[in-house]
Amino acid sequence: MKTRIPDTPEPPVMPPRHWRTLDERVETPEARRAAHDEFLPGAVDIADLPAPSELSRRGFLGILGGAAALAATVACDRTAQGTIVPYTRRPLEVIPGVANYYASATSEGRRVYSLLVKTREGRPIHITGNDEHPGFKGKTSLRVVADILRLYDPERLRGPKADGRPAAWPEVDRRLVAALADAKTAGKPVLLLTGAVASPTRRALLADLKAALPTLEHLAWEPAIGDGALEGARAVFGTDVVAVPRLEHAKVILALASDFLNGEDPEAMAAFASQRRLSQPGQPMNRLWVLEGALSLTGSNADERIPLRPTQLAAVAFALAKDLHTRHGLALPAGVDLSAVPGGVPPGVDLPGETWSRLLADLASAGSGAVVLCGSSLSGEAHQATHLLNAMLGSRAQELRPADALATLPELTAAVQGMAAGRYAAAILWEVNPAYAFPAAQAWKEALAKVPCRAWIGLAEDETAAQCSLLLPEHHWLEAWNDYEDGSLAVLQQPTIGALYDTRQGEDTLLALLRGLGAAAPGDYHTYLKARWQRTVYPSGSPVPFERYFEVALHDGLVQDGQAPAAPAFKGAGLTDAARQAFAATADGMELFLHPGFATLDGRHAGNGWLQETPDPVTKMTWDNPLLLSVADAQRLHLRDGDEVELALAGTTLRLPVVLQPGQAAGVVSLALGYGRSTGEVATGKGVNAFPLVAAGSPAPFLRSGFRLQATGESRTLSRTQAHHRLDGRDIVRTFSLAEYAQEAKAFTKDAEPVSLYPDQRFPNHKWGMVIDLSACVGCAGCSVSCQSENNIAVVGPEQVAKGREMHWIRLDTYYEGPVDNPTVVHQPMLCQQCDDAPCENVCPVNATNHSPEGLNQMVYNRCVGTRYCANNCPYKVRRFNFLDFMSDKTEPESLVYNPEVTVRPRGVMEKCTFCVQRIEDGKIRAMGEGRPLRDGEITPACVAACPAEAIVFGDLKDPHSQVSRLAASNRGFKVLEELGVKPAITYLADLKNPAFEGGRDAK
Amino acid sequence: MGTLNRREILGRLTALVAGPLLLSRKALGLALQTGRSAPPEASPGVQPPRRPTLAPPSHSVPRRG
Amino acid sequence: MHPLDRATRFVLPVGALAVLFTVLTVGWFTQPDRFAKGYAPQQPIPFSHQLHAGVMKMQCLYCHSGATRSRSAGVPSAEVCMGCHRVTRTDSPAIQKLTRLYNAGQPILWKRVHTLPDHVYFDHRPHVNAGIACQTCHGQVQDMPVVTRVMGMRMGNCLGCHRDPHAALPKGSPITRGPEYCSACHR
Repeated sequence: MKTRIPDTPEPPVMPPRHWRTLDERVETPEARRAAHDEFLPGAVDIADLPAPSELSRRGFLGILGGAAALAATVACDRTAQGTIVPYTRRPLEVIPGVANYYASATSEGRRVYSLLVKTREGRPIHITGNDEHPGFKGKTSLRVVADILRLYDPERLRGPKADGRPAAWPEVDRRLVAALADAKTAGKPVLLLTGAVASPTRRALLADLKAALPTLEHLAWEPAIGDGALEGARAVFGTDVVAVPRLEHAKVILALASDFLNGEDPEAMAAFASQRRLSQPGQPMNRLWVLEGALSLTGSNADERIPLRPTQLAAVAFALAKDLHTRHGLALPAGVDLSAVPGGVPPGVDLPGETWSRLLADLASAGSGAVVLCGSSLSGEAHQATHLLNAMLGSRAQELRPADALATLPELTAAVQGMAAGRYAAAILWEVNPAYAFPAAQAWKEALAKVPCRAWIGLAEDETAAQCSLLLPEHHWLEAWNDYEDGSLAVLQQPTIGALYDTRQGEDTLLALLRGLGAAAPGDYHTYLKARWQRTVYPSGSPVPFERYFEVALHDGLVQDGQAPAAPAFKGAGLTDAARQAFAATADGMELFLHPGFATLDGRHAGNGWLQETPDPVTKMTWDNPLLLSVADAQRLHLRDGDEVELALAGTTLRLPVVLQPGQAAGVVSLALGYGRSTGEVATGKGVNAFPLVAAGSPAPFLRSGFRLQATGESRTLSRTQAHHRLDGRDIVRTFSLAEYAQEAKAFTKDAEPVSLYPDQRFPNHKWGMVIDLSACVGCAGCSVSCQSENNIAVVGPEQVAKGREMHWIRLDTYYEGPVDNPTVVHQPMLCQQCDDAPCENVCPVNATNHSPEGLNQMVYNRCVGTRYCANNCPYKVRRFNFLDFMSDKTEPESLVYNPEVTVRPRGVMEKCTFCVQRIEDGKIRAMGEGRPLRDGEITPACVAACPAEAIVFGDLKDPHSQVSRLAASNRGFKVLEELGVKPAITYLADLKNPAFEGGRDAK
Repeated sequence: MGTLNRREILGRLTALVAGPLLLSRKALGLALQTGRSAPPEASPGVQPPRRPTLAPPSHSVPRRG
Repeated sequence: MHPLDRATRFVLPVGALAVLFTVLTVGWFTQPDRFAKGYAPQQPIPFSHQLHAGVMKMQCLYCHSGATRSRSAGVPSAEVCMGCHRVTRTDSPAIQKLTRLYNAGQPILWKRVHTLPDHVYFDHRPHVNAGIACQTCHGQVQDMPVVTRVMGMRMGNCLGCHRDPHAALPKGSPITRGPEYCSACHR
């Protein structure tokens, strides 16, 4: 180690080329001014103070005097320590203070998630993936992690309602059964509208109900899945199909507006990342091509990205198929005729010929190791072309599974017309919200009003429930039984807590209806589920008794159940027509790209504070869905970030702010679905409802054109975190292309350590450190949500986020590089670096923060007086201050989600990442109790455990054999702002991109 | 103090007063200790504010170890 | 003088002192005394450790079974008591009260004797697993007819032993110090 005393500031190793905001890129005076103030002026604004109550001055003084006197008498026994109340009969598995884990599961749309639920004192507090599941391996989607909040949602309906007043279950059952029995005798249809049915037992139950009530019409509807995906699959396979990516086999991935890395599919993210963690130049790496209109999270991870209009993607896909056939000799499937399809780049598509050839070459050379993924917002033609491409390539990187049919919007519209015509005797709406998500919501409401009996099954009263006479509140999935099919696995969902309220699992309602209709049915779904398992899943001739078998299945959360379903056969008959339609599709003027919201999906999560406050991984917007514009379009329309516009299309007018998004294709505006709800305190008033803009009956309902866009002259403050921390020209993040990696790997590590006045820290036992691999990190924010769940992190709301007061201990910082219209993007998780020479430690006037002998920077809340000097000194700006009381007024049920091992911070204290010190201490104590040393990987902070890409590694840097020590020595390793000499304990591994052409995105 | 304008002074005084004000409100709240455990009324409509019942699940099988 | 001067020199300090006085007074009366050495409250059921742990020599861990497995040692559920008291001493009014509460499923509200403030995350496991006797901190419980708090349980008590645990540890223990860093107990 060579120590130099520099007389001039050391220039950074990499000349800074990254930028975060458009202001910063151009270094406007506003940017410089904003960089000046760490904390915005007015730490406590008059507007922040709670509204004064209706109390006169005399009244206040009176209470003050009385209270002082009362206080003297009210708690006479100062020495009382409270009460301690044990169980009367302790359930055997509950040891107070010890967490219990239950394997369970849930589904979202068609996706199934096998989970492990951590409970404390009988209530769930944290959700992770099921470690026994061979695919998920302990990982899951961030929306599922956040869904625990819905269990404790204070707005959950706590008991049945009939005609708007509380009622008992027997009464609502009686009325509903009577309505169905009448319908049966009269032969009138009953509409049952549900979400996707991912459970074979639920499917069996629905079949039983249909047998008992032949006029039952069941429609399964997922608003977030575009009709294009459904119709494309049906045209090609004759049945609904789900294409499950198997990216571990993919060397080349072509994503057509497909956001497969957005956090919903942990298996895909893990497989994708597994081929990007190079330790030496020359190792194989996959390549991701993305063609899309709006910059998606997947697009931000692309090696090659070409912004195109979404309506052009179908033609592009067919042209690719044609050229793969004519130029690279890939055979077409039987019955497919592409002679009418022109080869080469389709007209009007802004894609250079050289890029086109290179894309074709990549796909052809990868062959079965290539896969094409199509976003669900695209047209049916685009999906057909994608299926064709995968069939031509013989792709192994995709598993096709037949799926239950979902209802398309025309099918739903027909049902609405039926309701309006008085066809239906009753309607049961289960886990759907058409009054919000159906594009013609007004038509829905008017039609539903004509149905005599309207029953709703759901968690909290929503827009649809407002019209229903019978409200049957259901259990949250954490309180309920179910099973799911996941390829060849049968996955089980079991309750992790008894029902909180007087609710009933939706399936139990169906069983009550079955019994009411005279069919034989068990009393509860648990019995029904077990009976079906005993009949169909339990292997016949097994030496293990069924009860024991089922117990083990519940313990593990899953069993192998036969083979994976056979892939459906490819039928290319309609492809010629589809190709012709793809080329005929044009869009006049600008086009609008609608997509499911990152946080909200189709609006079901709009009431979830954690998800609303997690910044969108690309735009970093919270609590709102602005209209995203390309920078070019914004300049043309004279719009800036935050300007309000009016978007008018086919009778719907929306007023919303705009955000200029680098990477957005010119001529494309995009908008997230799932906002603009009108029920629920958290969801109401956040964003606008974009569902009315969806075109029912169109081949691509989520792609619109012919709208009018007009500035209103107003402007709004955006709750957007992208501008919250500034680069100031510093070298913070590193990205390399593979070629650069090969050259620069040696020159990369600095050899001069800045001289330090402080003596070296000594770490006798452990020194905890982390390695974060930016090449594996996708930017999904799963770490952030898991951290929020584990560490009781507050939700502050949009006004506070706008002031920069979001409380996330780990955040994703997004950096752009290159041209504004198509930058390369890198995501960097930023958290407390636990610096050895932490600049925050020596400025605390009360010594509330200091260093532990294991390398952690400790934050002691009880000492902190809120000077905020430490946050001022932190170069990484990872310290979060509780400017207001965000948590202390929470009572049951909201307070039940807290982790009892972590303090709930009040106003006035500073907080930051602790490396989940509660888990570290617990791990050490367990090992000590078992008389053994700690194993590497035994202690996992929440972010480490949650990351599906395994981008974060944690361990003991003093152990030379630990994974973290090995990775920290990587030739891709760097430390952020290392030149400051704070000695962070976190090593980042540079992001790698595998572009087809050198020279960055300027070069083409 | 002479160089500060009225608005800035007002801002600083607010910050100075806000702390003790909020603290004393908290102290009052502690002293009065009136029915703090009542859960908030859920909107919309009238609902009996039932407290959640915390009970273990009856047939579930937890992980061991 | 300037009106603002008057405010800062007279009104503000007096006002601040008044608020401070109120806060401290109210706090004094409403916050539990954390240094409650000698506290020995009457319990709803007059359970005697002297009888059970002393005369009958029952193990601490028989009832307080969480001590080796959890942060809190726990207070036994009524069912643990009923394990014996279904049949033993059923004539005693205390046992009859216990039985009544148990059968009705009603909780027994024991008065807590040993407690630490919310910002302390004490963990019994490393202490018990290191072989430290319960009596070290809880006193000679087996001689107490009514549980009495013998240690103030202030941070100084903890740190004093952590710095020199020799007296509390069994002979031959390899442990030389307990943690002195904040996050061992404050999270």
